[in-house]
Amino acid sequence: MGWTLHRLAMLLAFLLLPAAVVTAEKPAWQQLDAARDWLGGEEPASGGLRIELPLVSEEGMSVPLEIRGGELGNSEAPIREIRVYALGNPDPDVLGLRLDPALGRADFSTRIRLDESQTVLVLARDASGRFLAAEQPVRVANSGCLARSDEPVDAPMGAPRVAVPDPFPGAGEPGEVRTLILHPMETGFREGPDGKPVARRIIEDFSAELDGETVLSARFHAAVSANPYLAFRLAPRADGELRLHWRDETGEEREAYREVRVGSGE
Amino acid sequence: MKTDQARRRLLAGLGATLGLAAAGLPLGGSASRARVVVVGGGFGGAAAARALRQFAPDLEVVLVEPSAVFRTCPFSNLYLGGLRSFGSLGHHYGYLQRRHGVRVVRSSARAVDPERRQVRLVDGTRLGYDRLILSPGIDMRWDALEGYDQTAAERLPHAWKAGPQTRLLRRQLQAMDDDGLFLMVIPDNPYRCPPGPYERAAMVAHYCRRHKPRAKVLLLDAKDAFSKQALFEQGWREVYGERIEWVGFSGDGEVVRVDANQRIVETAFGNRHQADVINVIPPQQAGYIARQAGVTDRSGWAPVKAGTFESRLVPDVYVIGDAAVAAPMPKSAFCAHSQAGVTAAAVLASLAGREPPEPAWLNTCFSLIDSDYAISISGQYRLRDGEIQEVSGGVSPLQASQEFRRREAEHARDWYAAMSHAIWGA
Ligand SMILES: Cc1cc2nc3c(=O)[nH]c(=O)nc-3n(C[C@H](O)[C@H](O)[C@H](O)COP(=O)(O)OP(=O)(O)OC[C@H]3O[C@@H](n4cnc5c(N)ncnc54)[C@H](O)[C@@H]3O)c2cc1C
Repeated sequence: MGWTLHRLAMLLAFLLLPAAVVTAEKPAWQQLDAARDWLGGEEPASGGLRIELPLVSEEGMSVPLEIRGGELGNSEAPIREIRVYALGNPDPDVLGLRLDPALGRADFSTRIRLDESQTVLVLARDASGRFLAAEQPVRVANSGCLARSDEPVDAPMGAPRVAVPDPFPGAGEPGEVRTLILHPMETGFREGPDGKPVARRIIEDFSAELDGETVLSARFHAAVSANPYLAFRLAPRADGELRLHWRDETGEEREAYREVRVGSGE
Repeated sequence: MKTDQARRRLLAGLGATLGLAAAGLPLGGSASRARVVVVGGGFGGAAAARALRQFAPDLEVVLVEPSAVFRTCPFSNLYLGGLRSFGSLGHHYGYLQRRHGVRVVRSSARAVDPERRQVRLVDGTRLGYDRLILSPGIDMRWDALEGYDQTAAERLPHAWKAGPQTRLLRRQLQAMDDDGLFLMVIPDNPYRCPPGPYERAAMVAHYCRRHKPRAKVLLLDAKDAFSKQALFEQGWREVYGERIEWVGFSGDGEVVRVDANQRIVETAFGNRHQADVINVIPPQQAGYIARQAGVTDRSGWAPVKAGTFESRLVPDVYVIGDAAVAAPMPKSAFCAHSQAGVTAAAVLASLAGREPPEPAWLNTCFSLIDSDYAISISGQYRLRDGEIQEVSGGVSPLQASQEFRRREAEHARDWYAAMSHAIWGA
């Protein structure tokens, strides 16, 4: 009899399965006006763009996000633009990136803020106008054990940090550039100890220029973690100079220059 | 005042295990002849074995653990600081066998066969089970930090499992020059014992104050914030002045490469630090047997059903302690013990074909800054909407008298004594 019951359970599971698929939640891009606006009626494809996020984060203030968009150089339709959204944040915009093929690869690492458990959506548009999408739910289980103090940071924009491979592996071969700048990235959503909202102040723009040509420009929103961190690839063909530039909402700016040397590729 | 409350909570927590389990009793008929195998005789596993036998004296409980002596990570920092002997960290299994009738098998589990409900040991023995509890603790991720493998750990100890590694680190600290640099590499979350590295920093500074008066302690951290940060930073300053320096992720604290031979570490933005003693706490994952049993996901940890800690991936296998994804509960001995009680009750309920009792968990983590100065954090957890949530909690106040800190240090010692007595009888 146990056997029959088991069979019956299997059968039921089978019968119920299609229903479950039909009632599954809509893809993230359908749930967000901002994403639908950008797509303009197009339906994004789901291959070709991968993201990595923790399944569970114990600290929503700083969640590592990796975007893997593949090669730019040898691709017929390289990715030109990427947008990151956090569907459950008070402002779902997180980050926007415009890429030049000189980056070599559409691979990025950053750290973002997630207010609560939610889905992170990354959309990309390639040179042919086609869209790609990747999404992942993240459970945010903020642990009191790891809670940060609520002291507002009134430090102004600090000195940038930049690490470039020296030398880059070879002409046209991508190496990782890491950037970080000290900045509170005050969201404007948070109360200070006096109960009043702490004034918003975030870095808005970041760009990277190789010998005067913009190879990457980024738009940060409030959900980029304090002290914005962004790592990207760069595939220089020849020696040159890299200029990195940050500007915050108050108009304050910082820049950094790094010499780019290209190795022999051995 | 507040610590007295904390102490009451603490003792209540140790007792809560018993109250909960009553809901699972009594086991009738065939369930009482069932066999539960527990893998790992640490805080989670040994406590689960004890609890099962306490609640169901007829149940057959087999505990698989390779070591004759279990060395606790809790208080191993005190050993590094010279406040405790190494011997005092060791506990035996005799009491669990004699007093509680747990069958202790001194061996390692090599594989789990969930189809046949068997655990295979390294010597080939097969143990059948009706329910299996895994509490194997952690393994280091030897591929996660460039240059840091098992060989490198012989020169740059992690000392994140108590035992030979802990003694090695202590010997290196003792052999360090008077003006030496002690460097600690600290990983991003999640990892075993979130406040552990910062307590260790204080204990190393404690040792240095007396024996290496000009030595410094440098912490390179992959995170921008850590457990009880304000309390630690205040305590370090009050007791040890400028001796301890902490560098977080944004200050270029993330170490991406180590050179064990030259004792050099390199950070994400290319700074290189050489030190006399380097303690590398690498990224971690659930113990091997959990990964082998198929209960872990791509994070390397085991997702569990929140109410019972039954694996989400393999039926009738329960995972507790550090190996499980129990967030927001931290990976602490206190949590492992609390989970052991709840899961023992859930296992008994499942054997008896009953619904598991309503779970509640508790945590208190004490950290010593000095021999008579401790800070703590506590949390209470319940099931809400099918997930574990922190329903209350608190940390020691930032403003407190010396007397207050001294009493917390006493409570820390009480906790250690009570916990090890409850589990190992000594
Ligand atoms: C320096 C330091 C200080 C700490 N201080 C505290 C503190 O003050 N308070 C606190 O609450 N927590 C503290 N912790 C955390 C605490 O040690 C862990 O959270 C706790 O040990 C977890 O229990 P567990 O049962 O998951 O694993 P463990 O206690 O590590 O037990 C795992 C056991 O499983 C055995 N095992 C593994 N694989 C197998 C296998 N295949 N077959 C058989 N047996 C196996 C191991 O031999 C081991 O005995 C500290 C940790 C560190 C590193």
